[in-house]
Amino acid sequence: MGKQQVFGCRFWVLVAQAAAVMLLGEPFCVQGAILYRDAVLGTNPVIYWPLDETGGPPYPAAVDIAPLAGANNAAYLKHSDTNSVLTLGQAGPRPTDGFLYMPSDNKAPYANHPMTDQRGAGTLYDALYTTAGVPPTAYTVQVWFKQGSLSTEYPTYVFSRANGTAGDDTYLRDSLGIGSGQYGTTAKKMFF
Amino acid sequence: MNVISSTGPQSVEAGKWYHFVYIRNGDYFTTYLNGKQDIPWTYRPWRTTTGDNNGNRLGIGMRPDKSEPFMSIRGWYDEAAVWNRVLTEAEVRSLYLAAFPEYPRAILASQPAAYWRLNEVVGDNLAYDISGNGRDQTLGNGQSPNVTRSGSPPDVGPRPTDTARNGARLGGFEPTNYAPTIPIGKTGWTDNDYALVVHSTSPVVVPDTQYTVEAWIRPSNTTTYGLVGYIFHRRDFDDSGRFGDALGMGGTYQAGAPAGALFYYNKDTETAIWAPNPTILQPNQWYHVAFVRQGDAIRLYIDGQLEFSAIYPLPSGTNFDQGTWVFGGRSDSNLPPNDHLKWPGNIDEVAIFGRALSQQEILAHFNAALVPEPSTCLLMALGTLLLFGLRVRKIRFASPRSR
Repeated sequence: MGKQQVFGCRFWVLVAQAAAVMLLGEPFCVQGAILYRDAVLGTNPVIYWPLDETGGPPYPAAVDIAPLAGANNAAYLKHSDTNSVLTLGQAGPRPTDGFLYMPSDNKAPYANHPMTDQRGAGTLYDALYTTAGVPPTAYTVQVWFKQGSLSTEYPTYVFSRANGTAGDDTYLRDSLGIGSGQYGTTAKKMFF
Repeated sequence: MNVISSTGPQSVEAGKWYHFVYIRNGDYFTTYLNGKQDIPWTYRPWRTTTGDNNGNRLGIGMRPDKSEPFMSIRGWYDEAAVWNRVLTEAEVRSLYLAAFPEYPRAILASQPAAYWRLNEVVGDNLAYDISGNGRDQTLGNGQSPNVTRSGSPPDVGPRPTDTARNGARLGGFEPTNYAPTIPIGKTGWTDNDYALVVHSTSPVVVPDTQYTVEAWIRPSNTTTYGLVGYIFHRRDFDDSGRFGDALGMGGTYQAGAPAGALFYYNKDTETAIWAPNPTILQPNQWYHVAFVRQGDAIRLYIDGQLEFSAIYPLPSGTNFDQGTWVFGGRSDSNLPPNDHLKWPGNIDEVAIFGRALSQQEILAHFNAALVPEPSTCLLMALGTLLLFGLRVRKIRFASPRSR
């Protein structure tokens, strides 16, 4: 009985309240915050790859965290030549970049290749229609990107969708890149 | 390649994160960059002549139409998501804004003509406009004796560890917010000598008589730093027209506004305007300022409250067609010797709007800066859970006694 009077609820409530006021300087939190990934998930994407993976090669799968978790994992790929680079686990957009609601340890893959060749690396998912059910007639794609350096030779691609693989461009469909000033593109401008 | 290039104002620079969204709707597509439409809706039907015709292969950061990665990005890519529907413009914009702290989110939601957070530090040579309108500006080197951008105090912006005058924490900013510092006694007219110079090569042209400027300011000295110090000056750099609107703070100049008081100035008519009982700024305190021109009327708000309003028609003359501005001083060269009327201290979060904002909007922006930071919310949530748990425990202890 006596123990409860000393260490009981009233005591701890007062301690907790005093600590909160001392630590925070304000007794109430008037507005909550929604973290970035929760905001994205709140819009019900079919696929969401945060691309937080690390390590490799061999590279792990890019894990899909949309509600159908695991159903639409993608693959990290690097061109087999020695000039292409793929490094997972680099710094993604973070609070230190001004993006407060991104994870503080946000990670992102880094891809690179000489601007005079057409190779490189990226993330591939090859069942966008047959498994994920994303039709070619109505869909949306989001990507955050940061260029390490701008190409003045071959343009570079942020996102691309294709009907299969071929030796030429005939299977290429919706593809969005950053212009280099070559091959009909305007330097530093996005192109289709 | 049959290329359709963006004609939007934004260019992709190296070293900056961009939020990119692509939308296909039937035979049309559009793109968004940083929440703003970039390539407008364009007719480009999906080709069904080759392959599986359903676009099964999706490449992020690369083209997937070869057996190996092809023409990939030369940098970083992240947070890739796919929707099997057409997102609305509002949804796209929300996805961009969701990454930002409350204050910049509130500013962006009001769709400024330009918004520079001024988080750049030494080594960054562009002040990045995050409005989506692509008005990036060249910067000086950020090193002493120039305007400094070291990333360390005093070159820091409003942060959750700072408080507004009313004592509320500035939780609407990130803990790593940076800001340039103008040293006392700074002179000169180059990028090195202002917090920000808006050049004619990347102009911000807004109506002459319908616009708003917002910023956060922190004076390092309010009395002895110099004659007067200016926060901003809107004027064509080619001296072709009028002096324009300028906002400053009184200093040692006895015939002007009291030391530490903000005032409006126009040299064309030698007119200075300040409040009858002005707010006297205190050193090392952050203030939110908003200057509004609406026709012949001018208004100044400090921390969301009206400081003064007046009728002052702009003297007649040519339009401000160059879209040039300076922040942290005046841009006319006819200044006193050895005193270029520079602002003493920090200027941060500079936004220009092409319309006259209402006091309600300005106050909402200020209040957005006062939102508790996420870690505070998390601690409060944990505290609430703790208290709830203790209440349950109390009920359990109390029950046997009540029987």
